[in-house]
Amino acid sequence: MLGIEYPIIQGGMTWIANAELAAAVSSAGGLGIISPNASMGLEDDLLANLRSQIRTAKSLTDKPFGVNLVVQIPGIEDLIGVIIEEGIEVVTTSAGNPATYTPLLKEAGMTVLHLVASVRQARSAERSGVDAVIAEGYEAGGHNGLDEIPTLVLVPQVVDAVSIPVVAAGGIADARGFLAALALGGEGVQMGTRFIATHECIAHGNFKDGIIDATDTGTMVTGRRLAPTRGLKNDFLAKVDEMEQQGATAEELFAFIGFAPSRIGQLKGKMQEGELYCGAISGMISEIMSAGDVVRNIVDGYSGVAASLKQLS
Amino acid sequence: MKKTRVSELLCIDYPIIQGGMSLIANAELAAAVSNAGGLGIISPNAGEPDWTKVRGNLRSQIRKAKSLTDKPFGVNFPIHILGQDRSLLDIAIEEGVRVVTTGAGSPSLHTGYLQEHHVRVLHLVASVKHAKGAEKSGVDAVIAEGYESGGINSPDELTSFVLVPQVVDAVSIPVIAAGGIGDARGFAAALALGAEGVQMGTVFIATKECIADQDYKDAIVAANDTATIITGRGSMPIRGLKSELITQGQQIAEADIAPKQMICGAVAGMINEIVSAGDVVRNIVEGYDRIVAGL
Repeated sequence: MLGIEYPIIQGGMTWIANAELAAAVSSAGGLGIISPNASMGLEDDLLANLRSQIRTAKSLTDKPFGVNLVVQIPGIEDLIGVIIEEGIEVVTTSAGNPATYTPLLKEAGMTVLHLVASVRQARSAERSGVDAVIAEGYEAGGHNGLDEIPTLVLVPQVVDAVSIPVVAAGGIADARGFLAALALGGEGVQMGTRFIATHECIAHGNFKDGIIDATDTGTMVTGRRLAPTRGLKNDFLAKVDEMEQQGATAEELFAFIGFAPSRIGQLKGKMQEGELYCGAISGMISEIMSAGDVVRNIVDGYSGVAASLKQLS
Repeated sequence: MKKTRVSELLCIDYPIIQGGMSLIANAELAAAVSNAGGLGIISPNAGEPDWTKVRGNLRSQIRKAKSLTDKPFGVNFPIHILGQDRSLLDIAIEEGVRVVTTGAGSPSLHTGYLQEHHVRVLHLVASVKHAKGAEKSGVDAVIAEGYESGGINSPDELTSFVLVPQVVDAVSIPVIAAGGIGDARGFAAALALGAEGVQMGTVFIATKECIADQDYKDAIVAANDTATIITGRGSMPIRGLKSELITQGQQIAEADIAPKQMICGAVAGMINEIVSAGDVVRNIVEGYDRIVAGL
């Protein structure tokens, strides 16, 4: 469906899903995804940034790659205009009603994958005409569904509820997770955190090292009542957690969290003042490698894991 | 299917263990699971909320299970309830129980004693640190239980999907996956993650043999994907069905777990009918072959 060799999709992480990363994933046979905000400054022009990211990726690979659209942000129509002009064929959409933009994207000939975190959202995405859903579990980094449903139980229930393909996301970083996702009925995976700890990702070195150093208990979820968000435990999340425990209002929390801390954390390496979105699988990631090797390790590891499962049958 | 190290260790056909759920892991359920080739587990207080009667209850549950199966079965002991007192362990030993699952306390307390009496010890863990500690204490295997599971959870909230492979990498004893598993797909996924067996609780509540109230079973069958909730974060996280009782939020943490409180795992949304416990085991074993043939 996506014109790719392996059903391994790189997550379109807001600040750090850059052209070089996406191109490396696509060149290795997966599907790289660009974020319109990748590597940009808070005052930079979003449309120009997206266009330049797409053009850089095109100069680096002749394989298909996609763009991630957070459909509830203001100015989304203009972003869609850019990706149509640039001839992008795949988009992942998230955080909004898929009914609003899917028809427009489909009309432009694009394949649309929509991120869901519950059976209800998956059904509604299917009704909106998306080509596949990405069922993202509670393990995932960054913003999570309010329902907090983990991958192991989310994926099979979404598979049972829809007839379009299901891509599993959240908690996957190696061949074992890839096989497990397929065993649950997923037909592909999306991985974010594993691709942050790569040479090509534009994330700051401190952030990558933070993921490498993380143990199994290295991440936490804050903002359960508003927008549950997973990241590396640090001073910033401890402060958010403390504010929540003391009964801070939604306005107070939004004002404190804002948009800047995730940027300075991830792009500038501010490990305590910043917000470091990453998934619960961080503890399993122990080296920085090339994005192509991430894809190749999973593909190579697949047959070994599958063989050991078949041996038991 | 062929045997894993867990099947060999426990002398069972299939590495499928039934959780030793407090109050409702009764002899009939355990015997049915064991008869089907898995490992049934008895809770000492099954069917008996009065803890002062637990000794007699445990002995009668074990004897009843023995009358229903000649296959091995086990008993679950929460260590924080036992403390130093080994009288319940002695009953299990006297009655010839060969497998004990332990949790909620230090595995160093009773593991050696049980093993001296030829009992295999499987200890429940929810983080890499605890898994390493359990291995050092000499347990025969760890049950790595993720945040998906029903009842009391670890404050670390690691899900099975990320917990299991990290525990597998950290210890050399066999790892049994628990939390979020309800069918052959979950079983195969657990094995893909490196586990050599699974433990399931919620799916065995919704069986004919389980002593749980019919209302409780029906509520699990009716549950959807978003039907469970964690309460008591910050003190004692507990997963159960959203209900009048449990939506009172934090208050539940201070309350005792009432027998009628509907504890269950996040997998409840996948459970759509009440079947026999033997069929649960057989469906998984049959489904496994189909799934791996497709990989």
